[in-house]
Amino acid sequence: MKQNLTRREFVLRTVKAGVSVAAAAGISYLLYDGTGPTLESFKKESVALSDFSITPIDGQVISIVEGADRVETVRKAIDLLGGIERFIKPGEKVLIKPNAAFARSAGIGATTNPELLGEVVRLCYARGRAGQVVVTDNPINDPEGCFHLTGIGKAASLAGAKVIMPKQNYFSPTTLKKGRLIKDWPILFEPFKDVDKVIGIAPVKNHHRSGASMTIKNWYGLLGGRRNIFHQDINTIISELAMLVRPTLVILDGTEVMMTNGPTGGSLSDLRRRNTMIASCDAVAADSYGATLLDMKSADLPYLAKAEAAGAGIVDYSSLKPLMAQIAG
Amino acid sequence: MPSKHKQIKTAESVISFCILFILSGVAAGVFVKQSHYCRRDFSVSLGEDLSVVMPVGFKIMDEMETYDAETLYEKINGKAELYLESGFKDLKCQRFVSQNNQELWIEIFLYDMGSARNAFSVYSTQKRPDGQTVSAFTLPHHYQTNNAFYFVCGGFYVEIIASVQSQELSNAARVIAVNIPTQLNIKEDRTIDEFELFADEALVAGSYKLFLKNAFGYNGLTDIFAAQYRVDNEAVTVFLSKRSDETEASAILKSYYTFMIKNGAEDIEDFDFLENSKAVDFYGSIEIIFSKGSFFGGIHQAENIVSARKAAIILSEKLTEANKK
Repeated sequence: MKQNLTRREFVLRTVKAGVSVAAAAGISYLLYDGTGPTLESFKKESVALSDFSITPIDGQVISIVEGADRVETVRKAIDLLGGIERFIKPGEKVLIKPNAAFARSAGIGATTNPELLGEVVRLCYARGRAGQVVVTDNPINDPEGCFHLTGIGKAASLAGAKVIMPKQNYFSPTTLKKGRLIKDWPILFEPFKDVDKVIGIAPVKNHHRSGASMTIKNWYGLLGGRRNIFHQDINTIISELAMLVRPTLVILDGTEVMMTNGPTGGSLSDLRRRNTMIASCDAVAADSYGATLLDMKSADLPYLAKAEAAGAGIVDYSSLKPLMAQIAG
Repeated sequence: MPSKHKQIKTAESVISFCILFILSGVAAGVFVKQSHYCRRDFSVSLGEDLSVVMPVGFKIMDEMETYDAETLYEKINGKAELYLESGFKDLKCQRFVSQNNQELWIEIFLYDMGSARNAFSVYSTQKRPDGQTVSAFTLPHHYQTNNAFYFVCGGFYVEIIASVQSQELSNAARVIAVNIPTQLNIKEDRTIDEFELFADEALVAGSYKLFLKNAFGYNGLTDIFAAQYRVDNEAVTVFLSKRSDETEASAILKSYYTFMIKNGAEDIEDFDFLENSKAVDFYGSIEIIFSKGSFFGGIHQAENIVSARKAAIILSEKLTEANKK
């Protein structure tokens, strides 16, 4: 006998099919993103970066070392401030923020020197006995290309650091108290979770817009979204970055300084050898000294005065009694 | 019969589970894909490349990237304003790598500036003082440094930047520079007439600059051509600009003079050797400005009045000739 579908069975099957289709459509609707990935399209709780600075010691705030070898000068600069052991305690998690903004080779001077970065990572592990070191940045150009072509990714990995690429869901909104520009703005926050200490490492560079790009401008690489809009008020945004990020230590590399055509440079002739390494607990003071390497005065960089007025540091680096040294050869 | 019914039901169930499994896989794939954000996927225009200009011994390292006015910042960050203010249209970039050595790579930046004037402006205002011309290269506005080659080609400004200083890359840059106008079919554009208005005597070769906006820190000075001269062993900057008519040239003269006076410049007494001219001492630098017919010109940041005066007279005579044409 031929099997016929009863009305009841038909209705039941139709309902089941309909529910299946509706469920699939519903899941698709929930996952659908019509606008594509943008760093603004998320709703997360607002976050705030911790203050990673350490107890200041008078007379051990800033050190300036002259020498041609970055590895030697950075070791000396940190030793003058008490050694890496003063800044990193055993087992601590350290985040290093280099300038990996552009997909340029290291020799162009537009990004943090990889040898320098590698040495700081090694010091964190070998003498600081850090539990973990992570390296991160949100570059201007394609992140993978930047970390690769600058040599920063390789240097960090070889020294034992974990390189964290910026992903969309690593950004969270933040608002700077008393800030005018950084309001509900996405920052690269995920890598900072469980971090105990923060070190910024930046080259000294001319910058077409702000005059100079040094340790404070380096924090621009933590901003997400269409951060280029802040170029319209570049000095304010840099001063707000000085308030937003309170690092443990900053290292300013003035070994080869980009004197013109910054921030990207391109020609080796844009660089001038200054053979100077600066380590500082005060980023404003570091940048103020760095200005001299660009043949500028601190007054030529309005963001310094703004940052000082906001309490982020001291422009008059000489008042901090910098510790000086020279390394021959 | 019940077993046949059961068979049909089993078959339907299997098919249903397969469909649901496929749908789940699609959903999972969408979720994974949306979790991985690669900016490059959403900011580049794929399809073309610049392989036609690639030298022998090299291969394509990355796909070509294209940036427009909205996205230029994502390539050159703070420098974007310089180009955007100068008529920028788009930028194409690509890297080639040596087949023998992965560390040796070269990147081309092909800026479409819309016109030869615009291209010359961004070229000249960024020119490195140590750049050397290459005798075999036919385009007039070019120079090479230790690791880079820069030139103007039609309405394009081109930068060819090597990862390191190397003879192989230097040779490759020259080959690319020669290939770009021919292989990309870019027509030469020699429509910048102002060069002929500068006297040849005492001119420092290759020192021309074109400021489209904000020349000498004043937003009222636009389309200003400048060149360096050595007069009595002193460096002197001579500048000029062709305006629409005599009225406009006079108006700019007055407004720039007012700007300088408001900012602390002081008149230089007994200076009237040129008609429609002003001379001021601007914190130790001599500034001479004058209008001649539809031309506005002068001397900028001279160190002494004698060499500034000489250079101004030479310029004035050239502009008088030009006005007669």
